[in-house]
Amino acid sequence: MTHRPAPSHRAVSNPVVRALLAGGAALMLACGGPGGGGASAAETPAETAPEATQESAPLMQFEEANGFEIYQRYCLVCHGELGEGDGFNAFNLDPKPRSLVDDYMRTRVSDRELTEVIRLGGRKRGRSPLMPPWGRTLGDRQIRYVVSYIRLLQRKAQAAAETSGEEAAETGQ
Amino acid sequence: MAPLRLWLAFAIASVLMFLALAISPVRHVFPEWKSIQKQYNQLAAERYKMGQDVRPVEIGLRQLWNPDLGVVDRCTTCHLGIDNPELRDAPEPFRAHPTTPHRLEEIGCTVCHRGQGRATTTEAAHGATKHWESPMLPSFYVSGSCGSCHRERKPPETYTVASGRRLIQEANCAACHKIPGFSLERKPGPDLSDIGDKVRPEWLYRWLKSPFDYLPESKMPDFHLSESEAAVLTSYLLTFKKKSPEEAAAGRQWEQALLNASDEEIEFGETRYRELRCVSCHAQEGRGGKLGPDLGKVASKVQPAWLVSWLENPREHYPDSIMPQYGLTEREKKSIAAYMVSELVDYDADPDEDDKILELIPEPDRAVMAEGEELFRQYGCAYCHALTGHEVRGEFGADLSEIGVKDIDQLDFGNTKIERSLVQWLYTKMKIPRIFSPDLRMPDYHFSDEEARQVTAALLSLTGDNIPPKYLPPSPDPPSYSPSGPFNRILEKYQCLSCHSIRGVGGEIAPDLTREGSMAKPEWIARYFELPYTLRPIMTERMPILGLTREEIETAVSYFQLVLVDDSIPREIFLSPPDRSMVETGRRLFYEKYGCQACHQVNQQGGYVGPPLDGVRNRLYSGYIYEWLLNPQRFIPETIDPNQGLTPEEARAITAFLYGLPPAGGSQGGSR
Repeated sequence: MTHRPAPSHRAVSNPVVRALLAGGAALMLACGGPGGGGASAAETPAETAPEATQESAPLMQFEEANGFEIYQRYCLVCHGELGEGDGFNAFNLDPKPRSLVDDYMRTRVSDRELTEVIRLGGRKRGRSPLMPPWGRTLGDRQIRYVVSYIRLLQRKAQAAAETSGEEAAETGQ
Repeated sequence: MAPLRLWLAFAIASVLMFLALAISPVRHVFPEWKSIQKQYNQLAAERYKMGQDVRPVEIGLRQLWNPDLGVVDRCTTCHLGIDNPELRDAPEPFRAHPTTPHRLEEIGCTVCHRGQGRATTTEAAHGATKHWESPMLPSFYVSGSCGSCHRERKPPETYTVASGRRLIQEANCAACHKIPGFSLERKPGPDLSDIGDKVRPEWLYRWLKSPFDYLPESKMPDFHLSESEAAVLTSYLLTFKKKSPEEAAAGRQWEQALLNASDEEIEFGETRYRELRCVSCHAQEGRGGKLGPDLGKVASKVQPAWLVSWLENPREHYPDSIMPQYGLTEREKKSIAAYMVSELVDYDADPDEDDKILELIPEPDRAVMAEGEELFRQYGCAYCHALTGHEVRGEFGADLSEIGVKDIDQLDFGNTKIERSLVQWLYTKMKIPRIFSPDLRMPDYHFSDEEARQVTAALLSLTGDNIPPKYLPPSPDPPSYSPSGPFNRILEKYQCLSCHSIRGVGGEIAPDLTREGSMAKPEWIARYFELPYTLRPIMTERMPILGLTREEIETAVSYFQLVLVDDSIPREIFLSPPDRSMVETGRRLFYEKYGCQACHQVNQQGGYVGPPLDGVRNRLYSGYIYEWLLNPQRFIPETIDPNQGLTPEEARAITAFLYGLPPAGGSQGGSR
């Protein structure tokens, strides 16, 4: 596919300009400026009707949804469903698998570092060999998806901590 | 005449028109996109100072052009950071595109996102204008577009579409609708021609009335029948029997015998029920396998005599049944049935309610029969269930081949106030199927919000034939495996391919057997048939004890060794026992370098993601272990065992270490 310069004569698609050319000045005044009113008059949905794009929890977008699938297969057994390092296989391991959702992981570990640990495994990063390298099993894209999903888990964990903190504050009062 | 006033008005109008004409080109000098590009250049300057590789752009329209796909997309005029990973966190419209398998230049934007690619204002481009029939999809649904080209059931890297397609498959939508890529080989529901022999009347009424109350995992949807509809249909269906009156009388005697079974018999039945691992396929109260129906309350559903004859041979009742024909003795059959009718009972059921239901069900007189037949026809029951006199032709529901590009003017929104968009219409239909009109007949599948979204995304992928063939990924060769002779009789009798697969044919819940003969040793396979122990503790589905005869086991084992082999895998790689230093090297590689104990148990130490490795030499050929270590994904592409990039020497040393491991506790029985 090639980049082509935009044609100089663009189709006149703007309704206001079209009105100007076709009609008189009076018509222009009646139109009341750009924008028009047609499209913005979307009806408000009934309160009972379900919404395709609304949910209390954020919807998993492309990278996160694919990351979720990979995480379920490869990561969950040790790192746990919510990334807290409590997968069913965790208790057999020494050292224990890392929580992926604590403050340190959320704020101090960059996407690049996460990617490298997943790709090269624990041993090559001076950590436990029990975290295997996934770079020959998962491609760069798949690892990117997993990183996005881990970030989603972190946001969820943070939101959960904030709500429970608020609740604690309320009950404390 | 008032010429002066007219002239004045004309003069003013002329001046205004002149002004308007003079002003209108100015709009082109200051279009929206130019100011957006200037904003981008500011952002680029800031980011560049921070050391990021973000360069300013030349002011001007940009477009992607692909005549094959009919793409003229000017989106990159404003979405300037789209291919710069440094801008993953930038505000829109400058944010980098998420990682995808496709290069933007290849396919443009609107192929996936929809919208009006040629437009040069935000509003028009995003399609939020009148008379533009395919506005941009909400971001969650964009992945639905992956499925327009990737038409296989489970396309890679498209979790949302794959999940939607799985739900379409599980809900058997194709029983009523034409959906490309989905065709049913057999009717998904059971044959009803002996339903009168099979179930209890009060159960049938409850089931028809609200199947999800009896079984939250119900595969039959909820038709929202009224009380009288459910009662009439129950009465009609119960007239379908195959047993003669004498057989029915004998059945009632049986029933008494089963209900009066001694505690020992019931206990024996329960033990066998557990040992045979019925729970691998049949959950109880939601826990267990999903291949067969939940049996937690089966005593409230079926008639005991029917249960015994079902255990005898499922395919005598339903030729298409996927349940194995167990080699059970007379005593086993009766005591298992006795256990089921006395223990797997719906304890929440209210006996008074049963009586009320029985009163509701009318006698099957001529009027009731006619009404029942009409209801059966009206709700399209015959599209899922075989029943004498109800042969079907063509589709019952709408053709969905191009539902993903349906013009919204053709959609009936009824008197709902939902947003007028295809996405919203499909989603609402999945949640409340009859919301748009009381005359609709589509049943309710009780989809969760997430499931309804996934199905909607999968439906959006049905865009007909608008993609040029050269853009479609090559479709894989259809799997072909058609065994014959004695081994095929074993496969059919025990329905092995309900769970296992061979050369791409069969189920997914148990290991693939294509290379079994190159992998497992014959003595081990023979023992495993007799007493299958748990190799992978994390799996819900366990190999049942099928009760193969000695002759059948011999047939199966020799078939594995002769036919299900891969000649590229050597059987043994050690001509003589490996020396001790190699075993020691392997041990260190296993524990210290590669951390294999994270997933495998050896001598009761380690994780249990993979199979325990004690005595693995009794199970696997050394050649297979070696080849597996070099590249696990070669044999099972989706295996969790990571490819660690072992050198051949390392793989050989680890194989030597594993081959020396003694069996756990000295026996093969293992954990169960």
